[in-house]
Amino acid sequence: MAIQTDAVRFPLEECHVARMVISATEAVAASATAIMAARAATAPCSMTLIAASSDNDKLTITFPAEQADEAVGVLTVSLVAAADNVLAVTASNTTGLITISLANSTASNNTAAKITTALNAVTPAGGEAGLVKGIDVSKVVCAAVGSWDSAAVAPKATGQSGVAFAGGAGETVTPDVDVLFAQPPCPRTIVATPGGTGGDIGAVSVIVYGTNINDEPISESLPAFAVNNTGAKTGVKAFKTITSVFLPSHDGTGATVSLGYSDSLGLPFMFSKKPYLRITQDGAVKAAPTTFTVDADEIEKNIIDPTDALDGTELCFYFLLPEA
Amino acid sequence: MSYKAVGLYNTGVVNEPAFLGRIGRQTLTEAQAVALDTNGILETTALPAAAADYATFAHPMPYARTVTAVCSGTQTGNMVITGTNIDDVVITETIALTSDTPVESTKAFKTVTNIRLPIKVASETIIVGWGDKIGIPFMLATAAKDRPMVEATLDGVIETTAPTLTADADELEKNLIDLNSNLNGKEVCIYYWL
Repeated sequence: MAIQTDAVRFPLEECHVARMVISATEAVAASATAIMAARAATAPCSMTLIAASSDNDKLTITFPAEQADEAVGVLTVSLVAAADNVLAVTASNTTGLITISLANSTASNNTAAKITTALNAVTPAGGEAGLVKGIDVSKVVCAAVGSWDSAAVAPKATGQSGVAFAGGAGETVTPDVDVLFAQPPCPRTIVATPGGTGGDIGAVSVIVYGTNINDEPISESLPAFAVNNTGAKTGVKAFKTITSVFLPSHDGTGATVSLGYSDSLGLPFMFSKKPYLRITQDGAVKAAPTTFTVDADEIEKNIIDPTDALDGTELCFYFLLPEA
Repeated sequence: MSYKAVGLYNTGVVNEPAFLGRIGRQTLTEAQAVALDTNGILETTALPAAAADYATFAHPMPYARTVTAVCSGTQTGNMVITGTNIDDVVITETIALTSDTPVESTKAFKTVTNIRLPIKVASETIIVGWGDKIGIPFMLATAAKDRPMVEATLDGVIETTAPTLTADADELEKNLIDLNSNLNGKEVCIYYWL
């Protein structure tokens, strides 16, 4: 319906006031742990070799978390003693076998750091440096356990041939099996916070599965964590419910991840552009929101983050909307 | 201004109903809300040897907006603008030029069809363009208390400082709104709470 003005050739669009109420229960404060308390990361993709000197003298080879479990079932590693006192690493693109030949008399030639350098640059016959059977090994890290760096000059007699990689697959948690799991109080964006051993935090993304405000299934890969950094990452979609969450493996099992929700609230509109909006919190008119994101195709990306933090008091959004 | 209430709301006081209001929206597209342009209509033009009419312009008016002009040197003659207002009614305005101090019309021109420039003083030039003030489709009451509440958004964000209204109860084209923010090519919506 148009509204007549004093300019007879210039009617105005009529707008209607729409009010969206976020109840006090729904407007509870943001929380980094309300959905899931800190949970230890699963083991990264790695494998362990043992020196002849002692069962405690070990070398662990670990892929960065972002490579997940891609080496599992593809690459294997054999530890042998070289015929001379020179460390060598070779690989086969055909079999995926990486062979580490330890300098046969000087352990300091075989430190984890030196093996890492050699392995990162290994060039299979006819292949590219740092790429074995299609898998990037340029970022794998070797770590010494026990007296490896000062004692390893030969492999343990048994079990050091064709050792496979394992781990790195991450895990999926669901409300049904994890008692710590709770749902957002209303459609909110999801926050994942890494913690635990800082050096174990990998550059990986939590994946959230659930439903939007319209009860439609949605999913989102949250922004990847920064390596060795406990900075939280927040998604851009508002989840009404969470049906499962994929928690990737990190660079070590000392890392943890907790899940919560932010102050950003999901809207029941797919706006092509921002409409007029007023917000009241506990009855008081507030300033323009910190974030007001609109999306014409994905309803879950229409979100508002009020300027003032949610505090368990009622929120009202007032939109002025023209007739469709 | 003319509009009509469409009903009443019952309140807790049965003999004091509240008027049922309506909200009208005036929208300027990004192209219509383009930033002011001091030479958008007439680029640098030498004042004529005798008063003359100009009807060929650099660009059409983007919307019902005020017209601005400034000279390069001494010139205090009158410039006469002819065009139409927001209701497509022919209007004119005579503006006294003030040399190199910019001047602005008091009327909003939806179109400009002719500009009459005064005789030159020396070899001064003039540029003519459009300003930031927007014509509105209401003849507002002079007293602010008798006007509707008016708010504006720029690119979807409500103007924190309310826009400035210029009211005239008789001449539609003298009713203007000036947002606190400069127009910048982002959509403008003006809401009238009627």
